[in-house]
Amino acid sequence: MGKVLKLAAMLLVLTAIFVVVSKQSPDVFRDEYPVMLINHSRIFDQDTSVLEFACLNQPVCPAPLEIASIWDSTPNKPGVDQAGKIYLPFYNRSEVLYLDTTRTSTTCVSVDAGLENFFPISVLQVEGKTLLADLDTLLIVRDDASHKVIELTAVAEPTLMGIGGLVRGTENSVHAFDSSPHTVEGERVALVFTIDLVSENVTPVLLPIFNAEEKERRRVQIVGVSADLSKVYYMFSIQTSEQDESQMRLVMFDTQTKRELHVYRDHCLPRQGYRQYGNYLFISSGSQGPLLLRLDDLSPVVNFTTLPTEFQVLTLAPLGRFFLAGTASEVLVLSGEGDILETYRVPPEFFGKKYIFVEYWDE
Amino acid sequence: MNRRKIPKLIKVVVPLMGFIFLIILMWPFLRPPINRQLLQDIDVLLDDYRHALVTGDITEPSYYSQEMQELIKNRRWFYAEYMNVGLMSELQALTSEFYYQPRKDYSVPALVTVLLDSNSSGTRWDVLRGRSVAVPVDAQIRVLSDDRFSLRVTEMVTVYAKYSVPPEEYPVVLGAHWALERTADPLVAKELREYITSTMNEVRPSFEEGYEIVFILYHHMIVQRTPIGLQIIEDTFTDRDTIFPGVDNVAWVDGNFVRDTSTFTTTAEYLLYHKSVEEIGKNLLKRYTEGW
Repeated sequence: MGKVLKLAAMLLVLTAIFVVVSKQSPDVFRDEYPVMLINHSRIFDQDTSVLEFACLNQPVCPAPLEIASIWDSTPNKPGVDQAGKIYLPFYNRSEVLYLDTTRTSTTCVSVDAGLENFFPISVLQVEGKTLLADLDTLLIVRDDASHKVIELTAVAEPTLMGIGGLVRGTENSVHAFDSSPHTVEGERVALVFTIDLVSENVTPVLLPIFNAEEKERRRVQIVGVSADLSKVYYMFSIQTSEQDESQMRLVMFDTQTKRELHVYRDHCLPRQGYRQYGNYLFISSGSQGPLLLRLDDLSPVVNFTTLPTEFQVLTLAPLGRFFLAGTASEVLVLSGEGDILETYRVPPEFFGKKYIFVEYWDE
Repeated sequence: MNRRKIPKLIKVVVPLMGFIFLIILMWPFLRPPINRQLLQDIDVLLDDYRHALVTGDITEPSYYSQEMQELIKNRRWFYAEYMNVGLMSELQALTSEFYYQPRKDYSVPALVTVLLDSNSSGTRWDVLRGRSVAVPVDAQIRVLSDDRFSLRVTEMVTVYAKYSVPPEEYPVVLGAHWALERTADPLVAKELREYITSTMNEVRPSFEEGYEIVFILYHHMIVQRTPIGLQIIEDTFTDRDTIFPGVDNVAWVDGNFVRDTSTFTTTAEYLLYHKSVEEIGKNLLKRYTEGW
């Protein structure tokens, strides 16, 4: 009799927990961040480009902006800061355009460090500074339009192979990590440069990663580090059969316990385009579409292929506490749990175009 | 209350609660199956749409709203015009094929596959978090109202065309001849002659035999149930994918389709034909002269 009662009580509790968990009130998006798209098109016979803006949740939007087309004038991870200033880095230059939309008419300021052969892949906006990095050079553009160039190859041994990304650190710092692992005194390590945003001094750090003897791992590539440098995220391929079939693994490594804590596996895991934002590791877009994982355990936040959208999700960008996911016809505001909070229509003139989001960083 | 009745009550309540709990847990697996008749009707509808696009003959007007009938004509016009303006070619024929497979949320075989097969496209987290797994991404049916549903489907359109300009008149060949007349360097002249020959050999099959290009189009259709069957009332589509912008883009605004024709003039071929022979020739002369 007592057992039956216990069982009943347990079932009741389980049912209650299930109901409570499934009825959790979702996060709400109240237009606290601007949802903005940019479409880039070239005017071929004039050798210029035009950036067209679409603002989906605000009435005022920047007018089309004509820019000189040096080679490719597609903005690279553009964003808007807390003051409402839009920053536009580019893929092929050391120039950042700043649009001030807070005034009655949009003003445009160009900050150009004049670096030759600078092709910034990584972009980070933090504390009013825009940081751009190509494989070996870091450019810090300050909000007073001054700038500083740091050649990271000159900073430390072992020699930097190529900057893999920029990550916001703790206490006004930023980390730039080498995408290639190094071997120092027989130990595999990740090379990380910590940049103090106040002094703009650079400190190289070596973080342990997996044992160098594990030779079956191929093409190991560092894709991220945690803000406190307690975790390193890297990927590699392993041979899964004698027919030389390989599979990709993405791993979270604890630098204190020197153990791999979590693994994300997928047979078509992209090698490029990983970025970090808050508690997330994500890929904006790629041949397989976007990816959004939790940094804590590398679990996927959302399976984009199953979202009830009209077209497949093509692109992803941070928007404050949320994420923007874009299809050909819709822009979704996703919560940190991957729930759809709001849906906007893509303007017809942007339909089918390769538009990009204006990101809003508020970690 | 009679104390003897309590155990009897518990005997009834406990299994009942267990059953309810089981139903809650199993609910995703117990959803009603997809309507087979609807799938067959969609098959017929898409086959007719494909036929109408390929032949230009709308034999079942009831399958399409008035605006959709206009869109079918527009699509045929688009492929001819795109080939003509964008690719300097003449449309010979086109074929179309729709690919769709109904979405199977929470299918048990898919779930088992994900758990047991590490090569599966889904992940264990999908299963644990209760999200659907191993879902074919190329087709989805969503009910919008009692008489309307949307259909997400992929189409492959193959366009057969012949290049309109003979190899001798290809702009790059004309430009190379222009450069050849202006060089005294025998090595540069030799290179230019070889360039002319190889370019003409490359272009000739497209002029004489023709060629084909394929558009992979992603559709989102609004389909309405009418007393006499299904009717497509809107078809939004694009070939925009994760890498390239779309060429064949049709959106809808207030019940009318909007066709993007800007893509006619952004092709490499269009740009080539809008350069002067002199400009092309100068570039070739510079390339081969600097090379030597």
